[in-house]
Amino acid sequence: MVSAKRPPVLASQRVIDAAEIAVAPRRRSADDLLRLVPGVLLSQHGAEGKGQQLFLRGFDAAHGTDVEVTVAGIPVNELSNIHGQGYLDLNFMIPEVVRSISVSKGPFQINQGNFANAGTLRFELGVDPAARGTRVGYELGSTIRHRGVVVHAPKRLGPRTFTAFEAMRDEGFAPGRRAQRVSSMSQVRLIDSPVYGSLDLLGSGYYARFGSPGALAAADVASGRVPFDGVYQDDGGGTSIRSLASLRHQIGLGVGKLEQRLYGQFRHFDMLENFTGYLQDPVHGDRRSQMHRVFSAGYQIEYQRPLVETLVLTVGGSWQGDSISQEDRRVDARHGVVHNNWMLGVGQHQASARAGLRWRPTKWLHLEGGARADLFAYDVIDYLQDDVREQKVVGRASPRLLAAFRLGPRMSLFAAYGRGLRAPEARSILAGVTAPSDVVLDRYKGGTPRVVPSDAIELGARFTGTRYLSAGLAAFATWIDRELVFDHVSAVNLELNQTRRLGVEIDVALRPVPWLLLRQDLTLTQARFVGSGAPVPGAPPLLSGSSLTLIHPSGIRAGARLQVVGARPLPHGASSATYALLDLSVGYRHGPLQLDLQIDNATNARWKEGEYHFASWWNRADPRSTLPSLHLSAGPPLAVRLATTLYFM
Amino acid sequence: MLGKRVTLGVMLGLGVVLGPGFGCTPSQEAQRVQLEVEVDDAALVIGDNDLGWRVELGTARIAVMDLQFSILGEGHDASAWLPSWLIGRAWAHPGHLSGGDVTGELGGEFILDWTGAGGMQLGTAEMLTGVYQGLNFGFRAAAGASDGLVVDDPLLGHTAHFAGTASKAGQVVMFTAQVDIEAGTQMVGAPFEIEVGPTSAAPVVLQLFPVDPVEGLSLFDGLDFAALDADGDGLVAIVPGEDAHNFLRRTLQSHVHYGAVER
Repeated sequence: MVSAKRPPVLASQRVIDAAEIAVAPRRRSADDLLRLVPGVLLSQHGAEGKGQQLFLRGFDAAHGTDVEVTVAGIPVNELSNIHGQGYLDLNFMIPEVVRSISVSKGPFQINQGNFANAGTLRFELGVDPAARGTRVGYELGSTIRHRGVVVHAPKRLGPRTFTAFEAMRDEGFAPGRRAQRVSSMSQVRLIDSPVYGSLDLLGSGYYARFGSPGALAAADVASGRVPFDGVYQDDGGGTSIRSLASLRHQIGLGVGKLEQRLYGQFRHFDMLENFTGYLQDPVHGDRRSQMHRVFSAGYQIEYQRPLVETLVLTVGGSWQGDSISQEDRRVDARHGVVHNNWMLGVGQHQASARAGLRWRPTKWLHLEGGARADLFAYDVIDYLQDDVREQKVVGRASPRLLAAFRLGPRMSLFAAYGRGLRAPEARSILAGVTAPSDVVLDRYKGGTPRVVPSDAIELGARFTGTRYLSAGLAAFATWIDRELVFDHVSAVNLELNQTRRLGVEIDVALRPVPWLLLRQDLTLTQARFVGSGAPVPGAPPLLSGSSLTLIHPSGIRAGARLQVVGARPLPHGASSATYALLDLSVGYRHGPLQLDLQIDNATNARWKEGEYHFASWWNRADPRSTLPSLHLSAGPPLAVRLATTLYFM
Repeated sequence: MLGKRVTLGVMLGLGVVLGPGFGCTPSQEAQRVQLEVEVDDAALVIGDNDLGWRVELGTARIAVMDLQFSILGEGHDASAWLPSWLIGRAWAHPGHLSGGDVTGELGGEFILDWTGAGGMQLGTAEMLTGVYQGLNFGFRAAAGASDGLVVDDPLLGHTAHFAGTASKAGQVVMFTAQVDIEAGTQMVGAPFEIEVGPTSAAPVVLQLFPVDPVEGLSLFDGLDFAALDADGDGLVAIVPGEDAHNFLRRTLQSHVHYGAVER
């Protein structure tokens, strides 16, 4: 259930396979599968369908800013998304066809690209032999949730070939949480030839609508002015659309292997939200309407070749071009435009080249080293500023090194260093061009847009016992010399002071009998600004996950997960509440029929999924205040889903 | 077998201990303190403008609203690593970085009268604890009774009113100035460098700097009072619509002429 195809080369490396995914509790969408990754915290402040906020290794990665994610090898972080840099929306994936999730924390391998400051998560698609065939499933949930799924994966074909369709509608546990989506994914091996290699075609289409309840001022909840799971305004929400096609070609060339991928995507995202009430505009309100539309094309190539028996050369490169139109407006209650904040046309290119060596001089030593160079080119037109046009090219070289020492058949030590990177967003290169006209008064004009590098190290050990026990320990540290954050309100690039993140991850997995896996993960992180010693806001200092995965030959299967989240530091000295959350699942399969019951938040804990510290002004009868205060988004209460699946083998 | 039991025990123990143990810490708001805000004339010195006129103010009143106090937080001063001889002192001027978060405020409308009476009290500001670096406020037009102005007050309907003398090489000009600035225009980033802790109680004092103490810039730079006194009667009235008004209107918006200190 927890396995690695090859011996791990990093202490924190992990592969989560299809069996563990299949019995995981709280698997409403593929986004939720990220909860299976030790050390990842998710926070949903919209409804299902909106990208979640991610936390990993001391990073508040917002909607994906510092976590790189690929699906079938295709990068899905959205560079320059209007809603957030590196925005991730994984809801287009159908959980039943996620074959594995590979976790590489930190930026230590040369195939980790833009946004991989905290790590890289790779989703592989397919259906394993044990689950192949045709299945039809229907799920009914206590939130008036209906979900149907069909997966067709002919047994005679390999694990990469499948077609799947999903439709879902959920009223949500409270106002503003309604969600609906339809998604289809198909992957087929077109060619499998010793001469021409293999050629896989992937296609996907996705449409979703989701609500956005916003956040509530904690004082308003405490005074009873608004219910804990209520909303101030009920018109928030958005649309997410994606279509995707990819061709992957793999071929052996003598002793070497060549893999190349060509892909294209269309993405549309729009949403309306209001987090600050009437603070900015006391008359019309602060509703913000965003639209982001992008056409992308990309190409990747990688060639591996052993130079001698113990030394393997890897070279690769990638390119992706995006044509983006994006808008950001303040609108009134009828959604009429009050003020245009942004209206841009963007052409952007991301290109990378990498080269590295993998050397295994002895049985007990594995070394990898190399470097990658990344280039980002932007061509941005500001339609609100007389079509001002700005172009910029930025780049960065990033070395990566790692070593794995096998001390014996069961014990390994690991050491790694790597430089991660995050590219600037397209809007940021306009900051110096369209600065306010009062620059003569010495307003801060902001830093120069550039690639933000991070330097990370990891030291660790892993004990891989017999079938009963495995355990790992990893200590990590990440330094960012000077963070650069684009402030969307003031339209300047804010340079922040040096930060460092220190942490320890411990994981223990125990399999007392073949059908039962118990696991405990613990991540302790300290993220601070070096000069002041102040905590980096948002980063959870403690994350604990205790899980049980049971797959019994009799057909019974079950999953349980207890997650404990420590108090997160928030801006200005505030802090969030701690919480513990227990999710359960149980299922039984008899012949072609399978029943699954999922129970989210089994203790019906009243918990705050998101907590923030900012200023808002909702009741105009009260004095307007610009002072930040605690805000929250309610976590879902106890929810139950019953699913029936019929297999046609 | 004992090893497995020990491991299982440790795992369950961690789950049991960490769950309830960490599951009961509530959210915490940032700490707040309340500080009195006053106005005084301590910085109201006599100074020269860039054309050599020595200006002494007898009246200096400005209509403002919504005082805000900001912390820099972890914003990085990009010029901090450069030696001061390489980069102009202007960059080293405190308050130039207007970025930062507003974590203190005193809402309402005020007439800042720097020459009326010492220690004029504006009210009580609510502030989060932290290291402050900036003061902001909005300009407005002075109203009548709500600002305590009589109907013939020269400030009425305007943003600022100054009166005083300007002298140069034996020539003395008495001047008045009425300045209009569009309501809501913000003055952002005046120096306010104090650390507010949970036990802070000292009042915050707002000051007007007719001469910027760092760079020597005068509020009246660009004004040639001899040229303004075209009829030579020694009296000058600067009113909206004139070039002189626009000079003053611009300098009045600059953060370098304001500041706040702890009493």
